[in-house]
Amino acid sequence: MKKVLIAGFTAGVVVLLVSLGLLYLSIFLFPAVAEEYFSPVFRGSSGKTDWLFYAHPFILSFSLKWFWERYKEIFEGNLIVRAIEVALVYGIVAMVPVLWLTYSAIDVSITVVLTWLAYGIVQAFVAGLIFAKLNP
Amino acid sequence: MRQLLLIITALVAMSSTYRTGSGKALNRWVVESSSSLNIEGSSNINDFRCDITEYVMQDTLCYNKEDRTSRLAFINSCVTLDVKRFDCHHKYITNDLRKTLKADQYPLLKIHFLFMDNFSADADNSKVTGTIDIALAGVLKRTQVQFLVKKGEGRIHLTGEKHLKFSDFGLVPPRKLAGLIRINEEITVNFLLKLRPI
Repeated sequence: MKKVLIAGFTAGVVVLLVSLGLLYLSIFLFPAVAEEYFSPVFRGSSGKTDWLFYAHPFILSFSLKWFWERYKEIFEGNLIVRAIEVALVYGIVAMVPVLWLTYSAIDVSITVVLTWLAYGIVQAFVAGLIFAKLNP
Repeated sequence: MRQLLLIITALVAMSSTYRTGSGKALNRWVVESSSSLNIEGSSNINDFRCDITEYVMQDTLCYNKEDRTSRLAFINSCVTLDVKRFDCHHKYITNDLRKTLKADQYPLLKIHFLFMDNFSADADNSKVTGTIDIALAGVLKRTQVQFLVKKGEGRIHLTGEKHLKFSDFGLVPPRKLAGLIRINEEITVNFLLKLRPI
């Protein structure tokens, strides 16, 4: 249990930092895409809901930690290869269907949806690296 | 016919300049439709400018001129703008700005002219200091603006800018993604008022 908590929190903190870095990088590199976040479909910042945004990397990390413990035997190879596999599985199984549904229901551009897919895959790669290192 | 023309001329003269109770002449400027106002702001993504390029209200500025001080004292003189006419040239920022300015609840931005100091009817390219009240989103803020006065073709152009903050009017600029994407507090309001004496 202790191992799970340490790995989950470590992955959560690192994924949070990487996520913030990616968001600022996307603002810098693709300002026109980032501008879409001013759309009314996105919730305005407020003290009541902001914590949900920052809690997301921890939700992701603990979910992936469960997945890792259940299926880590099927991911073979070195640290990087295993992390890439976890990231691709997460991207294909979890993100693509949800993003498909999101795009069908919410007025967001395909470009933004694709950035979310890339963002999610990078997050899962980072979490996978930590799990493969801490709990191989 | 000649008498009729004389009567009409007299009526026009009386309507454009008449004397107040204190005996001072009351003058009027009509605000022309080609007047404009814009707000310049920035976010941590980019800069933006929101324009109202056409002034559709029919406002008239009435004033007394104090000869000794060259001060114009305005009487019930207000320029009224429709907040929903702001166009920020980015549809999401336009929508967000209107929401931030509470356009549904307070659809009008009003600029009440109070005084204008050192105004000379003859000087072109002169700078004058105007005292105005800005009524926005239910809050009234008194402030001073430096206007550049230009004259030509029987019109007066007043150009001015004022640095303000959203918080001056109790407004919170839009923030998204838990504050990672945000519009900055400071805005610059640029005025171009084209006035025609009547």
